[in-house]
Amino acid sequence: MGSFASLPIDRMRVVADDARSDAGEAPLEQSIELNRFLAGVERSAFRIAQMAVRNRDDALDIVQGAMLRLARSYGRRPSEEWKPLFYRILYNGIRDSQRRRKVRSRVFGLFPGQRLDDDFDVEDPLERVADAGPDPSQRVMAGEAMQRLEKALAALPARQQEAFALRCLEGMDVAETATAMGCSEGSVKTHYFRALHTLRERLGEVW
Amino acid sequence: MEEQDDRFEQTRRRAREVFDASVESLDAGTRTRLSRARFEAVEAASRARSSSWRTWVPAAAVAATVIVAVAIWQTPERTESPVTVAASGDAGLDAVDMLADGEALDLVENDLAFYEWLDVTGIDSAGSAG
Repeated sequence: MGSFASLPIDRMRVVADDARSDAGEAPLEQSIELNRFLAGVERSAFRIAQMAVRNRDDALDIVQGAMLRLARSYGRRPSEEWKPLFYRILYNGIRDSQRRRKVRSRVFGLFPGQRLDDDFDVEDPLERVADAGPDPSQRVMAGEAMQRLEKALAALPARQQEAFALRCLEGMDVAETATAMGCSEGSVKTHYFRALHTLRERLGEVW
Repeated sequence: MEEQDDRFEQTRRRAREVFDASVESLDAGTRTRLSRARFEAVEAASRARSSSWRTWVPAAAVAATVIVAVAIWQTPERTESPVTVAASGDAGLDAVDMLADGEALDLVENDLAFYEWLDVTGIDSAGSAG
């Protein structure tokens, strides 16, 4: 009797799900989910890209490209897969940018007196908008510590930098990091351990 | 070993703190540009979702048309006439075919004349005169 009684409820659920899907609610939910995910990673992704390419505009372009690529190509994948995919795309963008920059600097090196196009950048008016961040003294201290970290990180091999950024700074687990880096979990552990070891030596106790 | 782990943990924690602080202190201009990029990406995802069927339906129709056209073009033509195909397994139809063919009748007549000549000359099939 109980099973008969539950049938209409189950049927109603199916109909309701269909109706919701017809009304375009599922894509809306997906968009909200994607927006939430990107909002959660965009700033740290930008800082990671900036540390790697050492240029703000290039870093912004890389993050924007990674967001678009993820949204267009993997937007329909389950949201649990987004993080490693996003960072994989991001690091591909970083490598492309570094390659382009190397070629550009070689070309400009052939013509003394020529400057890289970064010098011609027009200032974005949004940059002059007042910040509501931490107070200046805190910012200076954090800035100095960050500079030391950036310098120490920049001296590491690329794969160690990547493993450290994803495992430590982004807080991804070993499996996610392995997917993002396109290597085995064992390689991730090795790269991460070596990076941590070298950073410890370079940054010292009091850092 | 434990001491080393502690020192690594300390480095790891400090790096994370410093990194998080730098993320928090991003300037307004950068934050705005990141938000703008995010909205564009989310919009692009919605556009991709809504336009996917509009892209695939015409593509599928074109693909189906091409497959049908190739299938028709590749089908081998039947070169044998229906009568020949049917006659191949039926001896009775051989006669009909021969009768329908004027040249075949001439051959039959010629053959009769040849056998009559053989009979008259008395040469047997082995070539000796009888």
